[in-house]
Amino acid sequence: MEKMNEKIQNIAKELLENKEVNLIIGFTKGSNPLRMRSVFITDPKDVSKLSFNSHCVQDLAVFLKKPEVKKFGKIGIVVKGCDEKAVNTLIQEYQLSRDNIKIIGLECHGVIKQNLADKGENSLNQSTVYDKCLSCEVHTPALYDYLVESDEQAFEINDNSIKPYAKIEELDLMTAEERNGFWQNEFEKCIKCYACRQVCPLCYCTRCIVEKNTPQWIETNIEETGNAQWNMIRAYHLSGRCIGCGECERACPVNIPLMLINEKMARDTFEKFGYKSGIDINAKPVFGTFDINDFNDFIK
Amino acid sequence: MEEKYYEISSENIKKFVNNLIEQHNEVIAPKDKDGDTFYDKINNFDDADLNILLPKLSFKEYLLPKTETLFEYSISGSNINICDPLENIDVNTNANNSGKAADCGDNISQKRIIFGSRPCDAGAGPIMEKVFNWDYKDEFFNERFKNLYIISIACDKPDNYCFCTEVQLSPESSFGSDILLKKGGSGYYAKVITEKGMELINSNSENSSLFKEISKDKFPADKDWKATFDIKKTQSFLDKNFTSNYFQEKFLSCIGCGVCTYTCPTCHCFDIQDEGTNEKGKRIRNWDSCQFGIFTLHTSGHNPRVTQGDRYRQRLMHKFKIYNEKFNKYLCVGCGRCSRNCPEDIDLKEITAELSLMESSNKPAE
Amino acid sequence: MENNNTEKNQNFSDNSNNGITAQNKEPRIIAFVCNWCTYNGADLAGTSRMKYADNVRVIKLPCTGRIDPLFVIEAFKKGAKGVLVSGCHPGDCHYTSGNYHSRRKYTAFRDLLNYLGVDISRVEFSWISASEGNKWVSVINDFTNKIKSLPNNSDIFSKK
Repeated sequence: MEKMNEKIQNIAKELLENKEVNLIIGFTKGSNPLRMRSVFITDPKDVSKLSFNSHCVQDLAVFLKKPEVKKFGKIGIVVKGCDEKAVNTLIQEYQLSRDNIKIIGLECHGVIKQNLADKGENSLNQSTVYDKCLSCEVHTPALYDYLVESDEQAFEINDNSIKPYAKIEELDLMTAEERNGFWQNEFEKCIKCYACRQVCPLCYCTRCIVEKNTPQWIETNIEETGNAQWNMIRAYHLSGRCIGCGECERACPVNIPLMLINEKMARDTFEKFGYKSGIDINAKPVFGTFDINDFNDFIK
Repeated sequence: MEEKYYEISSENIKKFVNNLIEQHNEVIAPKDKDGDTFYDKINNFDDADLNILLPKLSFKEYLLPKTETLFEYSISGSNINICDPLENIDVNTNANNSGKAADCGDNISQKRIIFGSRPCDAGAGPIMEKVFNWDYKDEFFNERFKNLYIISIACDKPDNYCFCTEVQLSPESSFGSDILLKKGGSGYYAKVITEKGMELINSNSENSSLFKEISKDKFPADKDWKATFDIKKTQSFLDKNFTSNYFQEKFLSCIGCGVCTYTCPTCHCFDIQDEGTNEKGKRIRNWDSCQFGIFTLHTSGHNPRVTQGDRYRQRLMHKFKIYNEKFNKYLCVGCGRCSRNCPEDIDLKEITAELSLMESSNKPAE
Repeated sequence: MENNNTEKNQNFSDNSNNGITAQNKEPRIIAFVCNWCTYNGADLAGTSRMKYADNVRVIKLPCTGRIDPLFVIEAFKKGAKGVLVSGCHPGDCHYTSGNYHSRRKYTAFRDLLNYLGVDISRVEFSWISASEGNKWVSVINDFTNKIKSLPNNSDIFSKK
């Protein structure tokens, strides 16, 4: 990892010294050896703080929506493949100009689940990485200005019984009533801290639908009805857009498996419209366009 | 009341808890849920997971529920019916004279026993009580607080995010607990601090026979817990550096989710909302968070706390300066949940220690 | 004095009848329709004195493209048992492509509802043109019968 860190630091230094960017967003050491956190660097002297390893779980693209960060103008960002898809989607949806961003892409083989790392897990393998890493198609980011190759080996997939998001197939086989029971149980836990929204790089509305109260579309109560409505509308607003970074699920303090919804919607969108989000910055967002031959079976 | 000391074996503590479950029904303890631990109702002593350091959330929701119904209304024709959850409760004495629960809200007079909380969580109740009884007496909070019995177990191994000692509590503090248990002897030593604690022990003859009274000196003495930094220095830094750029730079990485405040045992902000149709509805109060952008947004469009730096500074100021000035208590029990649960790894202990250090080294604020 | 009171009472009960959970006519069905095709189709059914189930309440919007899935959630939330979304046939949209966009959105939204365990036979979609008064009548009658035949389910919206 040392070589990789050095490369990231050199690129960052060069970008800052040449005034190509005013700010570098990257990873640095966190509150314990198995946690990493974000760092904001404006001075080339500080680049030695930059670092990367398989505990870099955060999606730094979330900061690109923050007004305080936007103020810096031209920004350099360190991204894993999945995070980079968020940058692409922001560009695609006109939230970010390609000219204002320098992408330092990292080759990444996967990141270790934070809840395991907190219990001391430090080895990268099939059962310790997030589900998104098992089905990852972007170990090398789709778009970058600089690419830093990994100096570690990819972990081997030797256990075919571990399937990413296996619960989705299970849910698909259930009756509507059973599924309803499952989700009611999950949504009941929700405390409406909105971490899922805040940590999502694509939830960039300056005023969220839950904050609109004339009329109050989504009930404010933190009970069954309000929670179900909030989780439903969050999922809907991200369906076909979600790039699968899994931050919502990681941030959720009560462990609602939100990625089961996001991933299911991503699969359906691909199946019905052949669209995968975050891959092509020139593609039209799936719900911003249409095809006259679209799926029509459900309409009388 | 004068503190009393007892000894109780592991076998008997199990009997005691199971008796309490039978008598009062609502016993809440740390319980495993899909690999993480949360406070939840237990049906048997064995459901409780007492080996972990802390559950992921505090038991705040039993004092200040996520959503509290303040009243309900229903309209049919020209009749308007209003239901008040406090209707059977005497405001002055807090006593429920009729012994009946109101038809709305959940039963706020329900006796609840928290078993196996940590001293930090237990300390949150009396700290919050101050603000709920400062100028206005909050009957909802008081009623719930009165009916909440806390049996906590002293901590032997605080982790790196814990800083209860620094905020004037300790891993073995009995502040806020009705009964404090310490591991040792044939199971536990118990210190009974309040009348409420005695009430649990004397709730029937079997229960009181499970506890063997001992003298004070037989009760294990507290270890010498040392604070790693001086929180008073943190306070005086906050006192002087409201406009410091430190907050703006440090909290660039804060994404403004409410996790720190929602998992905090002492954060108590709420938002009152009306919900319903023409026919029926209710007034409720929900948890709210100072970390949200719209928390201070004025109707005019002006927002006095416009950046996330401003908002996190508010959190620090409220916890370590304003509350202490007003109520002589820090609004923090040092449980470290905000740090453990923060998706961006913002560590409150690290920050308060850093501020304290900056103050003592007299480093001028940037 | 007496008169005043009666008037007030009347106003009051009028108001409460505006709520879609009013006592009469269960199950309540809400139809979100576009201004240019389905609304005129329904109008034609009316002017032709055709009879159909009176469980339905029609809400007119400019275009199916304007019918946000939030409206469907809102209708369920307020106690509707069924929701119909209806607009111009493909190719006939007054705004060229509103119905095509809407079709995409609702394809996803239906999948989501289904996945979260809401009975999707409670949401119906149709293309009804201004000349299809007959189709309006049959869609409404069929949908009402279907909703009536559904068991009293316990999905996310039924709890209160």
